[in-house]
Amino acid sequence: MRKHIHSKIFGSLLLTTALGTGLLGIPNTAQAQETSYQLANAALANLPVENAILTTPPMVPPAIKRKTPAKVIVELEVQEFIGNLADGVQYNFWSFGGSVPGKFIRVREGDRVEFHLKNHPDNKSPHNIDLHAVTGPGGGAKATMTAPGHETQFTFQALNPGLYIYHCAAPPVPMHIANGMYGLILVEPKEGLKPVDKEYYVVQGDFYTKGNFGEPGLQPFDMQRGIDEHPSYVLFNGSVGSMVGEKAITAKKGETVRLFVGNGGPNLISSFHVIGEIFDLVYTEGGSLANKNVQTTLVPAGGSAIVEFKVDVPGNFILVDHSIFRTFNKGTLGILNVSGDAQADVFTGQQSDKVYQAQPMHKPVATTPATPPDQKLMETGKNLFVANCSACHQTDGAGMPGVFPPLAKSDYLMADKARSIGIALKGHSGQLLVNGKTYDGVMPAMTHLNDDQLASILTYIRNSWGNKGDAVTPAEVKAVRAQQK
Amino acid sequence: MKKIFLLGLVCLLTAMPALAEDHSHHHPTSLQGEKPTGKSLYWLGGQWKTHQNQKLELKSLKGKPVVLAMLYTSCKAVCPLILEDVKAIEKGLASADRAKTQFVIVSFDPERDTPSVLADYAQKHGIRASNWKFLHGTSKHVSELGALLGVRFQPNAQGDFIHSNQITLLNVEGEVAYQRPDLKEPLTIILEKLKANLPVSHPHQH
Amino acid sequence: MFRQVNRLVFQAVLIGGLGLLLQAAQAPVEMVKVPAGVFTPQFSPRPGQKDFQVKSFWLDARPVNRAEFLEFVRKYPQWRRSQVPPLFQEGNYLADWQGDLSLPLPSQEVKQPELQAVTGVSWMAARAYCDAQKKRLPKLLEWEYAADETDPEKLSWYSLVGIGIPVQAGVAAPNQKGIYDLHHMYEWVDDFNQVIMTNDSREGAEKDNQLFCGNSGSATDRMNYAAFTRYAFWSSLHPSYTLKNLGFRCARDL
Repeated sequence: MRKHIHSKIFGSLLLTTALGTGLLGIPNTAQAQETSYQLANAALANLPVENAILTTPPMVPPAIKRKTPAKVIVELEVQEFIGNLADGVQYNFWSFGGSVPGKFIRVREGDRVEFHLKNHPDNKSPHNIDLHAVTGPGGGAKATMTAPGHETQFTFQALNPGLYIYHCAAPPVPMHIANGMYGLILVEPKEGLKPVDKEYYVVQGDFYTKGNFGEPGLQPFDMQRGIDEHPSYVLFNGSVGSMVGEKAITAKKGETVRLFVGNGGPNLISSFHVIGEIFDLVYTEGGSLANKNVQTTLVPAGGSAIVEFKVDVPGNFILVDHSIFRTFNKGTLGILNVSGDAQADVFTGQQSDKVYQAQPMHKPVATTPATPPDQKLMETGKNLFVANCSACHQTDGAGMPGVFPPLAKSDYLMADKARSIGIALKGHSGQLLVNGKTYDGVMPAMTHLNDDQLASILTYIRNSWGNKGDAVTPAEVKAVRAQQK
Repeated sequence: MKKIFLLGLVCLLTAMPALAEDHSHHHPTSLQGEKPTGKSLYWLGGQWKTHQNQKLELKSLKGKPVVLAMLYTSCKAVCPLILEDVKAIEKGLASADRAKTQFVIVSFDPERDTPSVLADYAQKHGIRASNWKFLHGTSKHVSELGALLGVRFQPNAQGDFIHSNQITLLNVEGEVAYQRPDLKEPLTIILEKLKANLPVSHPHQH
Repeated sequence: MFRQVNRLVFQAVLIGGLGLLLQAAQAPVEMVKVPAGVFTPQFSPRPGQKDFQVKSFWLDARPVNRAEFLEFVRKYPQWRRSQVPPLFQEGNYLADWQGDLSLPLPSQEVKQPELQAVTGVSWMAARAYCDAQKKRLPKLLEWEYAADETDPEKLSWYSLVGIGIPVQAGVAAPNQKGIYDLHHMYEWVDDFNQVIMTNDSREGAEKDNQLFCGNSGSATDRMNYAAFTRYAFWSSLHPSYTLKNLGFRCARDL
């Protein structure tokens, strides 16, 4: 078959198409493939060329103005560096472009991206890149495995619009990601995004250090923590306080804000929320579907979300992961500072604080001595007995001669509470001597009844038809049940 | 003309001391004429033998483009396909151009693929033309050639090889002009590159 | 008169210095006999087989140092920096040397540069060196077996940022097999480019088929990030590459 296809390719080169396909009866796919390859080349040759503008977080490159595709050249350099995870805490970061997350890449649907990955000669490790915007094996990872001191290149077409994570996929992959090798690439839809006043770049990541949160010094990566999914730090943009104080992101009252939110992982999913704000629009998972009026949106590990909201009121609005221990104990906190005058018709702030007189909340509880089985328990027990036991033991507890032992005035029943509980739980088969008479039958285990139910039934039978006993508690049933295991 | 002769003589003389005590086979054993260009594969030395049992130095291939593939003769599945692809490339050339191209198949199983085994293999596949050479080399040189070309081959426990399937095009200088990475890429691409690398006039004889 | 004396003194010092260098280089490298054993490499070179018999072999106790390499290029001029064609070295061959036959100068940090492990050498050059000693480069399996290490303390070099200066050969504590300077730099192995083959040769052994995404399904020890890194590193190399962090040592059959 292969031979034919090869001769077919050359046949179509040298002979007329009709003769080639007609003679050999082979479908046109091979020829079509070859033609489309040539067409692709031709199309590529005519595209205007531009260099991508790459930005450091939290800044985002400007919106794309052109309405036609271009060949965009992206040059990204991997840098391994020691940086601050928190005040006094250093970490060996691996990065795309010297920041965590790496540079923000912005292209347009249909663009051809000529991607250059450079691995600085001073780096220890080989690196590559998998961009989720790429349609192709490994997302580019196969084509870009780069030794230190080398540069690799590949070209892809941005087929789908959306906001995509990119990350290193060199082994061990989780470690490369855990060290900070992730970022976002935005592929604007053909029609562009609606203009907003401010756009910002935020990526959450979990970090795994030998020491606990806050332990000072150069902290090594801890593989076991990573496998156990027990991060010591969960951070926006690679460090505690990356968007706090002077580094807070800002907007003016009345402006529209768009956040490009990513989650590099490696492990955790984020419940992204901005305290005091509601997302007017959420492009769920960075795709094309827009949800409205969302308080908290999920950002998958290795995924993204685009959130848009109008800031109507001034103040500090806190970006958090609403898996809230992370925010308060592991550093997932950023601040959006909105300047402007008060907007009382939307939010007044505190209007008053006065004394509140109330009734005592807690009534003293009277402690009562142990009482004989109360009415309620007996009633419940009776109902359950009738439903589950009376078929054999009869409603008057008389049983059936020779087969089902009586419960009324039963010496066997009353002699050993625990034994009776045990039988109710496990059932019984074989001979029994009750009140001097032998009974030989099979009682099924009452496995469908829980401790409370069995307790009430046993209480009822031990206090009816002349039996005088005490209540059986659910705890007692539980104890016997446990022993039986 | 004189300059070239002198240059050649100088090269030969400078090579002499290195030749005298050289245990490494990593440089051309003699440098007649110009040195190979920087990236030419013909810097690779070694005593190779053709399937016709003739000694061959790689640099003797200089002057015509080379279509090169590596395989082993005991290979049942993939290697015949590689060979068929190389034949197809030859067929894709105009007949006048075929003589201007060399087709070189190197075995990465030199222990079993002796020159006579290679001769049988060539015959079995109906290859008689003089511009085809099946080469036997020492395992050291074969592994170097493989490494330089990025061709990977690994013996398994059964004595078969797991290997990659590139076909490489060398230009008239012996530099890698193109590599077809696998059996999936259409042959037209390497064929076009080959046509672009054919010598324009008759190559001078060595 | 003074000029002549000066020149003589200078020449004497030069000869004496060279003599010392040659001394350092000429003392034959101690080799360690690595005993035979069974080894489970991080990635198996043979699909379906996890454990491998490694035959006993000799391994240099420490990496080749600059003094030794200098002696080699002195003897084999075709391996001098200015002589090696791009086919055999892609650039930056012995880039830290001052010239074909002159080593880097001593500095505050590195008082004896001639005793540092030589780096910036390509596979072709490393092979030629071992050849000239009637030795060879170790096979990947041999190297991994001899260098096998799981203590994270000893593997910190792989995750620490910054390359560090090339190791002074033969100084850091040896491992249990008596081998020095492991896991302070990368080392060439003879069959580096056979790392990671796919099971199906019809696929064409695409470079990272098993590596990319870590393919932890087939890795022996998922905790051993250093082993992952080494395999990834070897798979990214070409025989002509010359890297700051990459040196070598030689091996010999019994």
